[in-house]
Amino acid sequence: MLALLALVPIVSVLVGCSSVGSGGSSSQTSAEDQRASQAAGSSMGSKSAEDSDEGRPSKAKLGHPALGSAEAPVVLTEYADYQ
Amino acid sequence: MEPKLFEEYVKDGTLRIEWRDFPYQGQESVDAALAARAAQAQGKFWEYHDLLYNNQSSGNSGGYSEGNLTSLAEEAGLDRRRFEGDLQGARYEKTVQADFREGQGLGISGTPTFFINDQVLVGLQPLEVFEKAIEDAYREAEGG
Repeated sequence: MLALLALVPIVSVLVGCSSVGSGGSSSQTSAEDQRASQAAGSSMGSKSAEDSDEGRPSKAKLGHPALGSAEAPVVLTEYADYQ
Repeated sequence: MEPKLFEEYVKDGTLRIEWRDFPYQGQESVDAALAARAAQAQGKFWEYHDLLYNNQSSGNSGGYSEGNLTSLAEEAGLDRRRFEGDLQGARYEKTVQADFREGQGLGISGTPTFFINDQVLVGLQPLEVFEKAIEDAYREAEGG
């Protein structure tokens, strides 16, 4: 169990060494990531989702959250749990 | 997201990072995953993802209660009513379950598990391990 708890996802680890707890750079990176993803055609933050009326349940079907180009030759897929 | 990996590989188009939910440690794992997908629906998955890890909870101890998840949503600047509607209605349950089933089908039994093209890394790894795996995968993909 301890071993599992120690296995924090890369996004945390990687950030963990720098991003977890360092909101400034993390937020900046996230914003950049979001733009990169949107530019890559990711479904994350799709226009249809963001255009939903305020307060109303979302309607969009979500794709996999992603960072980077859909044409990238290397894809790192992370399976993780938030706990 | 490791800034160095992002700077070195994502920005130049070499690497794409994709997230899959594998909530296998109980109800709060599922709730956190559903909350993150609700944030995704508002275009703020990664911001919310970072907030979850910055406020990481374990053992289904209440850290990812609905109230706490909603507080994080507000911190992320999400539309609270919409977020609550999505979370309470488990709107993205099928999405999360699909990821989980996919992971089970791949034989995943613990997290984090990473696939870098065909290479598998289980558990936390030093940055250098990821760099080598990415560069090996790149050379292979480029025919080298």
